[in-house]
This record gives sequence, C-alpha cells and structure tokens, in this order.
Amino acid sequence: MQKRLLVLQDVTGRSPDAEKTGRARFLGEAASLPVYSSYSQYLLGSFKSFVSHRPSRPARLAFSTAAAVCLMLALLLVSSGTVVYAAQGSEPNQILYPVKLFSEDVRLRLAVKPQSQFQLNLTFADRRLDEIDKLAQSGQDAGVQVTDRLQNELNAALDSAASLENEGAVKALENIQANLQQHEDQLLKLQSQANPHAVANYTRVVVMLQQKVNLAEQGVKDPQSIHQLLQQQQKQDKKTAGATPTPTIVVNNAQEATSTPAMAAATEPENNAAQCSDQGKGNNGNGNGNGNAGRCDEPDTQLTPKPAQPAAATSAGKPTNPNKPDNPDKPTKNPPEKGNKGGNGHKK
Amino acid sequence: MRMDSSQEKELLDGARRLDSRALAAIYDCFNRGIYSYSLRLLGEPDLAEECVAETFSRFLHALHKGRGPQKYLQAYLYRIAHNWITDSFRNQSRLSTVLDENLADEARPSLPQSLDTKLEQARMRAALRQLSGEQRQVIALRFLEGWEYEDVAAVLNKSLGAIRALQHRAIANLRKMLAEDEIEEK
Repeated sequence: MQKRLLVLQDVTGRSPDAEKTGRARFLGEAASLPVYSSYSQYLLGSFKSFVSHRPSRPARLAFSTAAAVCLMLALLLVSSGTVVYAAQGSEPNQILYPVKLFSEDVRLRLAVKPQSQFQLNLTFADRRLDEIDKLAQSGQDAGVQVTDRLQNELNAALDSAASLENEGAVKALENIQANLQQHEDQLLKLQSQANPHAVANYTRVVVMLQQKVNLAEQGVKDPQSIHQLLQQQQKQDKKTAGATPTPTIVVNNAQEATSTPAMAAATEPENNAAQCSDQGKGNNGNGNGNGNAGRCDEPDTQLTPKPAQPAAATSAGKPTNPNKPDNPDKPTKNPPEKGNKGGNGHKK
Repeated sequence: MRMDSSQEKELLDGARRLDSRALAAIYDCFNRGIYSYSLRLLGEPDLAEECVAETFSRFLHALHKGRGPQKYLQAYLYRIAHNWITDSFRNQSRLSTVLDENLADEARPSLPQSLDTKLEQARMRAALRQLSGEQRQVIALRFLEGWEYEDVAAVLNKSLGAIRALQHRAIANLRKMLAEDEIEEK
C-alpha cells in the first residue's frame, strides 16, 4: 500500500513566480492590519472600526428602516405592557377595566395545568368580589356585567378545583368555601351602605355566594359531583335563557331589602318566588309601585339538588353566619316558573 | 522542513507583533511544503495555490485576533491546510469524479506510461477522499510527507497510540476500497 501511495509523492514544486506573488500578497495583508497586543484590544479595535465605517446608502437605508421597526416594536411592547400593568388596579367603572379583563382572559388561556387554572380562576373571582366590596363601600352598583363574570369565574374555579387530584380537590374546595364565606359576610355587612338601586344586584351576589359555598361543601364530600351539578346548571341556563325572559328581583323598599331579614328572604324559596318575577311585571306591576329591580339569578337557584346536604354541613360544625338562612339551598328548590307565577309585589 | 523550538518561538513572537521579517521567514519556510501537501491531495495546482494563500491568510488573522499557536507552528499550519482541503472535498461536486472514472475507462486500451501514472494518482486520490478526515491526514503526513508519528500526533492533538490505530484502520480501508475498484474494473 505504501508503494502505491508513493505515486502521489511525485508532484511538481511551486513555481517561483507564484511563490513570490503569494509572499507579497501575504506580507501586504499583514501590513494592512492594525497591531493589537491582546484579544480584548482586538475586540475594541473591531468595534471602533465598525462604528467609524460608513456603510453604503442602501445599507444605511436598510439599517435605519430595521432600527425604526425595532424601535416601534419595542415602544409598542413597553406601552402595551404599561397599560396592562396599570389596568390591573382598575375598577369596573374605569376606562382600563376592559383591559384588565382581557389580560385575565389571556392568562387563563395560557394556563395549561389544572392547578394553575384553579388558582387563576380563584384569584380572578377574588378580584371581582373585592371590586364588588369596594363599590358597595362607596355606595355604587357593581353592575350585571361584573356579577355575571363573577358567576362564570366561580363556576370555573369549582370545576377546575374538582378536576384536581383527590386531596388537592378537597383542599381547593375548602379554600373556595372559606374565601367565599368571608366575602359573603363582608357583603352582608356592607349591604346597608349600598345604593338602593344596587341592592338587588348585591342580593344576587350574596345568593350566588351562598350557593357556591353549598356547592363547595358538597364537593368536599364528593368532588366529582360538582361536574354533574355544573352541567345541570349549564343546561338549565340554556333552557331558561331560551324559554323565559330575564327575571328580576323586586325589592320593595330599600331599607327592607338591605336589612338582614330581607337578605334571608332573598334566600327563602317562597320569598324568592315572590320577589322573582318577569321583568315587566317586576318593574311595572308590583304592589307598592317601587321600581327597584335587579336580576334574579334563576339558573343558580336551581343548582343545588339535595337540600339535606347543606344541613349536614352545618351540623358538621362549619362556621355559620347568623344572618345566613338555615338552609341556603332552599332558593334552589324554587323553580323559575313558580317565581314567575307568584310574584307581583309579594312582600315579606 | 523542521525548525528548532527556540527559533520557532522567536518567529512566533515576531509574528504576533505582525513583524514583516518574522512573517516572511515563516512564509518562506513553509509555503512549499504546504503547496506540495495540498497538491498531492487535491491534484490541481490552482487549488493548491488557493489552499496556500488561504492557509497563510487564516494564520495571519488568527495572530491578529491575539490567537494562533503557542508552539508547533508547522503542525498548526498543516492543520489549517488540511481543514481547507476537507472543505474543498465537501464543496466539489461529484461530477468531476464521475468524469474522471469514465475517462479512465475509455482511455484504457492503449495507455502511455505517463497517463497510466496519472490514472493511478487519480485512483489513489479518490480512495483517499473516501477516508475520514483524520485517517486521510495521517496517511498523507506519514506516507506522502514522511513525517514521524510524534509530529503527526502534534497536528491531530492525539496520542501516538491513537495515531498508530488511525493509520492501521486507514490502510485497511484503502486496501478494501482499491480491491473493490479492481474487481469492478475486471
């Protein structure tokens, strides 16, 4: 093999002319280079030559266009980030509030794990309740939009809590329960300060919170049942939305409505039936002509299926509110038809 | 061409300062060897010229960046040349090899001696091209340039044992490839 390879050894040498030319080019190239004693000096020198180098006109144009686009993108990112950050502290009656809701929607869409979905749902529901608390303190109406969103967030929180692993689901549901009870108590205290026009909406929120607390209680015992109950609720939501006009709670007198018995009445089945009526009847046809009306949360009132379970939960030593009705499930047994039939100006 | 370590160190110190005398001495010392080395593997004088120019240019820019060799200047320059040759093999289209082989088949009936030698050179180069980069480098430096194992080990940054093993595998591969070629020709 070595002998065969020797055939490659016999090559012509480099011509003197080519050698001379190559040498001159090599030394010329060396002479054109600035001398640096170290690599850091070389980097510094390279940067200086880059800065001092004046590029061609098209290159300058391309560079300036790219720089402008980058600058605009950076400004856009910074400004939108600032707006979103500023919106986090906004209230429902402020201009940045939709941005806050949008950012919450985006965060929810980006959450993949059930645990993080639950945490976000609970955090956002907590935000809604804080907003409602603040508005109640200042005597303002929270508005249907906020309460509707609260309801959706609570449903989602319950749903995602029940989707967690067994122990995690129980802990999450207990967390929801404690949180909502706290807000419920606070809202009941603030009820007296509320604007008479907003009382019905706050009543609706309190009823909603009671129902969710009951649902969480039930879920602590059997987390999987929450999915079924929520599905039932959604079906009933659809039916109610298609079959009947939006019902309202008729509050005859602001003082009565804000008092504790009135709150209890809002959760009693017969009173709920009496106070929930068709919108037209509720606003126009009640007995004393008081036009204070809010929406009656009928879908939620049909949610809790078993009246015995909240009683069991109460007997299990859970904290109870003296203002809270003995059986918060009672309104849920009241069918919407009953409320629609019964109710013109029925007064507790 | 070999130089002692003190002379090499002196030249490298001058080269780092881009001293034209030191650079000229290095060029004079190594340009012919690198030209022959690249011509043996590439087979084309123009490509060999290009290889020499690019080798010294890369060496110069490495010195300019404060890098370059601390010792084994010869090994460093041959490593640059070898990398350039390997890149050249990758970039060359397969068409030239196919044309060479076809030309060889057509020219076989009445071969003058010089053409026969050229065909053998082309066959050996084609076989060398099919070796891995390190195997080709070991074969070229050991058998075409006549270097010792220690010098080859300095170029490849490997132990003597590793160089011997590479050489053994390279020769085995070459034998196998050339034997297959001969069977196909028959």
